[in-house]
Amino acid sequence: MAERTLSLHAAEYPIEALEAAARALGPRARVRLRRAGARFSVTLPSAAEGPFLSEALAHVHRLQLMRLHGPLTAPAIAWALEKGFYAQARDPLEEMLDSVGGERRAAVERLLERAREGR
Amino acid sequence: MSAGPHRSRRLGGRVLVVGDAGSWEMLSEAEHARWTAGLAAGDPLWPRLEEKGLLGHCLDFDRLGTQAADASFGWSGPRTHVVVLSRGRLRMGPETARDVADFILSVPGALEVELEGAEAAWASAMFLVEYLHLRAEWGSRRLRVWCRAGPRGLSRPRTEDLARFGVRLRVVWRDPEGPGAPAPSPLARAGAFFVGAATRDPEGWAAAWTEAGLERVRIEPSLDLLRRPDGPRRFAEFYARALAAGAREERADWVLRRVPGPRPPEELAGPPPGTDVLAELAYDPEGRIHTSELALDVPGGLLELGRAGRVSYEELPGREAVQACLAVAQGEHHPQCASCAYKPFCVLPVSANLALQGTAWGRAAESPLCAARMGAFDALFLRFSDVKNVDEEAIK
Repeated sequence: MAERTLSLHAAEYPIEALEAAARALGPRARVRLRRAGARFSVTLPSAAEGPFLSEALAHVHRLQLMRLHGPLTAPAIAWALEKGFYAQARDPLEEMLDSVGGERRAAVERLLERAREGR
Repeated sequence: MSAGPHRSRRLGGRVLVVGDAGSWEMLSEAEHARWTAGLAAGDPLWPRLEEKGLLGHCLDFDRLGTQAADASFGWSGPRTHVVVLSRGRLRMGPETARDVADFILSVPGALEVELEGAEAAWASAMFLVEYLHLRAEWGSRRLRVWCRAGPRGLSRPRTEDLARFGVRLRVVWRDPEGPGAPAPSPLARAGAFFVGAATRDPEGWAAAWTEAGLERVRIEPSLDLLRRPDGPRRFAEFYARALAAGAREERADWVLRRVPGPRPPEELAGPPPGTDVLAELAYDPEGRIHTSELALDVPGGLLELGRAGRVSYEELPGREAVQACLAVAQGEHHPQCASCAYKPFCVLPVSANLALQGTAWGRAAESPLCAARMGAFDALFLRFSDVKNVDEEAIK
């Protein structure tokens, strides 16, 4: 399979973008990255050059946008991750009264038994 | 006064203008030119656009913050839970069904449970239905259960089983051809229609749905159709013609409920249907939780979140897949989505990006799902703008 080596300036193609592009190609292509001063040397199958550069450019643009919009989006994501996933409280009646919990457990056990028997 | 930084899109000789929270207005080219040049105070357009916050001086950041909070912080958890009871040779057992139900009920807010593959694991399906019914009653939870079935429907005894617990039937068509009415069922209320390469006659299908008594139908492109070069165009055409023929479509209803208006924040629609984690979770027959139904097909368990009964809902934010889904769901993180007129109404889900483009982020510019959605939204907004008075009852 013919290979091609690209020389890309690190200021235009940061390492995160090149790594993301290489990962996006997955098992379709083996990509070798090497830093040479201010540039990266990227060796990959010729057929993968277009998809690789497309992914890398998309990621460069995405990184710029994320830096720009981070102050807007970060609070919403942080809120969701820190406080958004609270679980529904358990039924207080069941917690307070053993008899209620007991009756309900027995009812569920009967249902399970019926399902195990395939009825 | 300036127009303000709103998104716009040319549609059918007019210009659709959309605010950040989803307020929108269709302008003529001349009106759009006046708007972008700066309206004079006495311009008849002024009150129309001011009411919707589409004037530069209306950029009220407190109001935008409140709308964003209603849309984001008002989120109380995924609403749709797809339980796959059978898949290949796998069947969900009753104990696993109980663990899955307990997990679903630990998610706060109103819940919709959709049972997929129920017929091949009927005893577990009925256990799940009855258990969910009991627990919802005990805990005063708002819960609706849907059972999916093909157009042939379910047998009479099974229909009667489901009817005892208020379960409704969702008729599913995958890659169908010409129109065909589903078997009549008193429980059939909704449909899920996956447009395929051979699907034709949207008007005939719309008539068949009405005849079958379906109150609404979700029209989606099949993944196979999206993988064809002409797939997005064919889907968009089908969608537009079905809407024009009077089909009541679920995403269209959702868009109407997403537009800010005189309604309490809790009635504002949640995240776009099908969005991983934010709108949907799915469960496979072994009780493994996935970020959405589409994620079940993602190889390598990339979007798997653990097993019901062993992982709690509160632990989900610690999962990398959940963090990725939340980051990807922000339109502002995508070069094309950030400036898209339909951004308030659309998310390209991680699971769809992985299925179609092989990466979680995807690339909207080349995404067939983006192209299909754009076509569908174009049809939708053209239709909305042609309907002078949107029936509030229809919105509900």
